[in-house]
Amino acid sequence: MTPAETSAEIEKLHAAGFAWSMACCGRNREGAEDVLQASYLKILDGRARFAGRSSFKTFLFGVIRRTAAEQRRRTAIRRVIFASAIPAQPPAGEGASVDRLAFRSALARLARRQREVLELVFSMGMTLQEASETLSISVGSARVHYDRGKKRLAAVLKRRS
Amino acid sequence: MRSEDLDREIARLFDEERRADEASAPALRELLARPNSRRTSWKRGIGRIALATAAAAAATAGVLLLRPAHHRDGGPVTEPPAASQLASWKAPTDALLRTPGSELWTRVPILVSRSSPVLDPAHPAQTTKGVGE
Repeated sequence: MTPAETSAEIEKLHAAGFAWSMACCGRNREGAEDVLQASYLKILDGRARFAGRSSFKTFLFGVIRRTAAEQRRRTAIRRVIFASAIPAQPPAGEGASVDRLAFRSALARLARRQREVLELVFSMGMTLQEASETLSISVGSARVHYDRGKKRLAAVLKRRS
Repeated sequence: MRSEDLDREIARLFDEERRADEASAPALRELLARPNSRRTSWKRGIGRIALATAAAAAATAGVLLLRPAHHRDGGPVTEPPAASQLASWKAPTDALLRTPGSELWTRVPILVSRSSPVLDPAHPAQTTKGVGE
């Protein structure tokens, strides 16, 4: 894939990539923007290479997920070193309806993997196969996370309604 | 609520969330043109660590420099009274240890006189081993 083609693919998937980055960063807008920028730079600098084994979307989403995980680790370490200097950033909640805030709170109760699989399938329209490639897990594991996550989410939403 | 309805409801909520996120996405060019926040925050972190290290080093150097100076021209070194009392203390029964002939234990005895041939290197002492037996 040429650099021009890579740039074109990134541009095409930018909005969806941002939505996925928001999901990976717990709806923290600033963190999501940093993660997305770092992910794009990784791809454009050649530090993350698309081998063509999966779709570009799956590859891009995988890079975003790994970059978000790296940022979480770095933030955790920095929080330990400079305990008082870095305040925990709350997720963006402005402009969200009560319905959406309740949904976010229900999502936050799920295990990270369950949440990620549900986001990829329901929100990004991926199949379980694509979701498992993005998360670097087997399809079987993705299916288990999907089923358990959906049941748990349904239980939380039912309790709220 | 039936299972299908629940699925539809979950899909609707996810879709709503995604649409809101996608609508608020920053422009791609603007995002790429920003200074790399990770590098700047890393530099900031390094700067903080360097500053803290320099401050600690300066404090340590200050303590090390000030302490000997205090001892050098800090006037007479006065011992605490309890220490001087302990140093000058003598047991009341010391007098009982002074017995006739006790000075013999405090002097080095002279075993040979100066005129003894043993000390004269010109006339070494003759060995007597096996002689006159």
